[in-house]
Parts: sequence; structure tokens; C-alpha cells
Amino acid sequence: MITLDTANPTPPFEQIRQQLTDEIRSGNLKPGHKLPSVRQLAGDLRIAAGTVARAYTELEADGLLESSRTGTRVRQVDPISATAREAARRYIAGIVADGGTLDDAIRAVRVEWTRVA
Amino acid sequence: MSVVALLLPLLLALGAVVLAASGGGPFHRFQMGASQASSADAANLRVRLRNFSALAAATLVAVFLGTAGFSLAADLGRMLLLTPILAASAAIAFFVLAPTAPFHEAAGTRSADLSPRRPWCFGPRWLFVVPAIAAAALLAVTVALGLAADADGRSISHDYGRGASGAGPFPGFFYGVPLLTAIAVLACVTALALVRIASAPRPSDESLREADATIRLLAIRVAMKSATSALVFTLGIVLLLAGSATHRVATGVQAWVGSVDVSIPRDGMLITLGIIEFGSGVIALVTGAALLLWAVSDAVRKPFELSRLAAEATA
Repeated sequence: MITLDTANPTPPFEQIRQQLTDEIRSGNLKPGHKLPSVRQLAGDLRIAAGTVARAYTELEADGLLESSRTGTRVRQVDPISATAREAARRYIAGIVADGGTLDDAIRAVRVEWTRVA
Repeated sequence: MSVVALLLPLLLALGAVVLAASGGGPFHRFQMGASQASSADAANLRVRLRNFSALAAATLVAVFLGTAGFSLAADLGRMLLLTPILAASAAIAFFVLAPTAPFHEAAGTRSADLSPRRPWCFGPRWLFVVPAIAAAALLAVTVALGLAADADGRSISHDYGRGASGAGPFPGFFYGVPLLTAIAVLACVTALALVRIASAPRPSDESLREADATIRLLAIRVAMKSATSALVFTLGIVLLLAGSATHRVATGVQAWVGSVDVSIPRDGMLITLGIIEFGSGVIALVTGAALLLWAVSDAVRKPFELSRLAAEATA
């Protein structure tokens, strides 16, 4: 399931794109899984069909989805490794214990990544 | 013929009135918080309005076609054969226009499942298999009788060697071609209605989801039962006409061969066939009428009834 927060300053198509990317990369959506049609997803989220279509198009360009006459399906992609997810869980536990937010966590990763990687 | 012309609209109108007045219980009962209950009640009302509009449309189409048939005497048989299917198509069209009732929700977080919704997610398998079987049976019978009919497509004759006898009206391709077209129209409208019902927007609020699923299930039941009843009813009319004509053509007749009066013997096999066709037609007609009343019963029924969750006591 994906959620759309109308109070979130992030544009709706970006919220959809991010959440679908996370679902696919985490392995929650398996390769070959058929996504709902643009019309169905747009109707459920109460947004324009073009917004959903843009999210699907960008995900296709990222190599995560493929469209055909029968619909849009998840492509075969390498999921996030179990090691990386375990490391993320430990990191999140530390951030939360410190009173930080998701934005704080992402910002910290970006800053440290350029130094370390 | 005039009895058949009046039968369908009478069944529809009387059935709707009697079943609505009998106050049958709601389809489902469940609890809901007060904040969502008003939205659910409004959706309930819109659904019932749509269903009654669909019933009214079907009745009007049936009356119109019956009336038109009588005024165009040459096409009376065609009109009567097409009436059940076209009336059902008119009713099901309302489910294409208004597949579900929207629930009013406060703006905020919206959610959506990541799997396509299909019509069979909302109903048992038999609900989709039975209409397909009815359509296949009607198609097969229509084509078979069309091939058996005379070249004019509206009578049947049998050559006894010493003469021939003929009888009509017989549901050959004169009646069969428009009927096949009507079946295609019904199939398209029904398929479109099912897709629209399944894919219509769903509420984000979990407490409204059960009400939403109930509305979709009931809509699919009404649409599929309406289609099935129309197909079976029409099959009954076709078999009645075929059986009657077959029996008459098989019964012994007086004929003149040259200047000699000869009696053409009764054809036992054809008589039996005619009786089987007629009997099957009666069974199909009664079954179609019963299915129609079942569809009307679902249509006039309240989708759900709510009991408000008791408000939590404030500290």
C-alpha cells in the first residue's frame, strides 16, 4: 500500500515514485507483480491520472517498471541487500533514540557519504 | 404474443414494488463510528437511487419495445425477442455510469493498494460463470435453429416425400441475426459495468472499506443476475417458438398432390423434438422470470445498515 500526504510539501508524483521505489527495492513488490492501472491508482489517491502516469514513466526510466499492453509490471531488479537493511535498522534505532526524524537521518547519510565513500 | 410482451415489464414493475414494500433486510449489517456513518448513509442512499433508476429504465424500455412491436406488426416477433436483452442492457448501463457511490472523506492522508482490482475479487466464481453459460446456450440454440430454418429465416418446413408442410414463426436467422447483435451489446455493456465497478475509487478510511466492498458486491450481483435472467428468458421464448412450430410442422396434415387428396403422416420424431423444445422453453422462461425477481430483490435491497459505535466515555 502507498499513502499520499496532502500536507507534505513533496509533490504527489514524487511521493508515489519514492514509495514505489522503496517497495520494489525492498523486495515487497516482487518482479512481475502487476501494478494497478493509472486510472485506478489515481482514483484511489484522488489525484489526476497524469500525476500517476508521470510517476510510472519515471520509474520505467529508472528501470524499475515495464509497461506493456497488459499493464505495468515490476521489473527484475536487485533488491537492497539484507546486510544493508540490517545496518539501516541499527542506524534508524540510533537516530530515533536521539529524537531525530527521517529527514535528519537522510541528511546525515548524505553528508557522511561524500566524506567516506 | 401479447401476453409475452406484457410479461416482462409487469414482472419488473410488480416485482420491484412488492419486494421493496416487503421490507427485506439489508444485505449486510456492521458498526461504524459516527464520523464516518453519515458518509456511509449518503452512499447507501445514492446506490438505492441508482438501482431504482436502473429498474425504471428497464421497465420503460420493455414497455416501449412492446408498444413499438405492436405498431410495427411485421417486426413484432423481433421486438419481443429483443425486449429482455435490451431492457437488461439499459439497466446495466446505469452501473457503467454510476458503478459505486463515492464516500466523502476529509482531506489528509490518502492510501491505495498496489494490486489491480478485478470484478472476481468481489463475488463468488459462479456469479461470473452462470451468465457465460447462459449466453453460450442462447448463442448455440440461435445458430442451430437458424441453420434448421427455411431460407426466409422465419419458418420451418418438412418434406415428407409426398408433400411438405411448413409452419412459422420459427426463430431462424430473420430473428436470430438481430438477437445475436443484442447478445453482443449485452456482453459489452456487462463487461464494461464489471470493469467500472471493480476499478472505481475506493475510500482510504479503513472503516469505510467494508461498506464500499458491500456496495461493489451488490452491484456485481445485480448486473450479472440481470444479464443472466435476460438471456435465460430469451432462450425460453426462442425455444417456445421453435417447439410450437416444430410440433405443428410434424403433425399430420391434409395435402393435395396433383388432384389427389393425401394425408401426410405425423412425424413422431419431429413431434417429440417439438415437445422437448416447447417444454424446455417453458422451463427456461420460468427460470428466467425467477432470476429476474432475484435480481430485482437485490436491487431494491438496502446495501447495508449501520449501528453506530458507542461513543467512548470521556474521563
